[in-house]
Amino acid sequence: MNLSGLMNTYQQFKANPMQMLMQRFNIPQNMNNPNEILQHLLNTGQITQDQVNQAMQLRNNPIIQQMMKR
Amino acid sequence: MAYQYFNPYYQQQMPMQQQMPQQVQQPQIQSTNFLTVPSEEIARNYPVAPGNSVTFKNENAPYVYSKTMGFSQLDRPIFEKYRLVKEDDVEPIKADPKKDEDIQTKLAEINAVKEELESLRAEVDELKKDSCKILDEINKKPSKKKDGE
Repeated sequence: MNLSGLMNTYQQFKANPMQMLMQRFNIPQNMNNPNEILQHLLNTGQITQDQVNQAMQLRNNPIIQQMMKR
Repeated sequence: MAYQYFNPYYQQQMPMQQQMPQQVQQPQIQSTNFLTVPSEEIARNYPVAPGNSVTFKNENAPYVYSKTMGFSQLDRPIFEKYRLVKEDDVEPIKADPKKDEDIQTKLAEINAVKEELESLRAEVDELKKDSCKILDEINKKPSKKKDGE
């Protein structure tokens, strides 16, 4: 990806992060549940079980939860 | 855990594998370590990759759950629930040589008493036989006298 492409992606993310990520990972529009999205990413081989486990453990971490509230 | 890339064209590769039976390898379910979850519902809804199994430990209750996904995305996930039961530490009974010796001497005493009893029983039986003979003789004698008279 060249610089203009990178800037374009960044602009898209800045404008609408959810839509950009949905397009980037080919997530169907009707998927709103985070677990459902994760299951879709696992089924399509875009992420691994280890990555999901790590993300879920991070989500349960009280320090991360505090940061998310800010 | 080893990284296992999910291949969406897995079923299309199957005929090639059937042509080479010597290289056929059964796919194995990958499992991870225990993940702590606050409730059963979270374990039930936890995303699991196809061909993977995740084990959960409930941090608020003595339960362990496992969620296994088949290799096909059409398979329904298998959710299993196990209850943890604490087992008390029971120390195995240690062999005491002194107690063993005591038991052996007592057994020897019991056997000696048994032998003595047997010999006494035999003596009593002989005495019974003798007494029966004497009684028979006594009974026979008066009848002979009567016959003689």
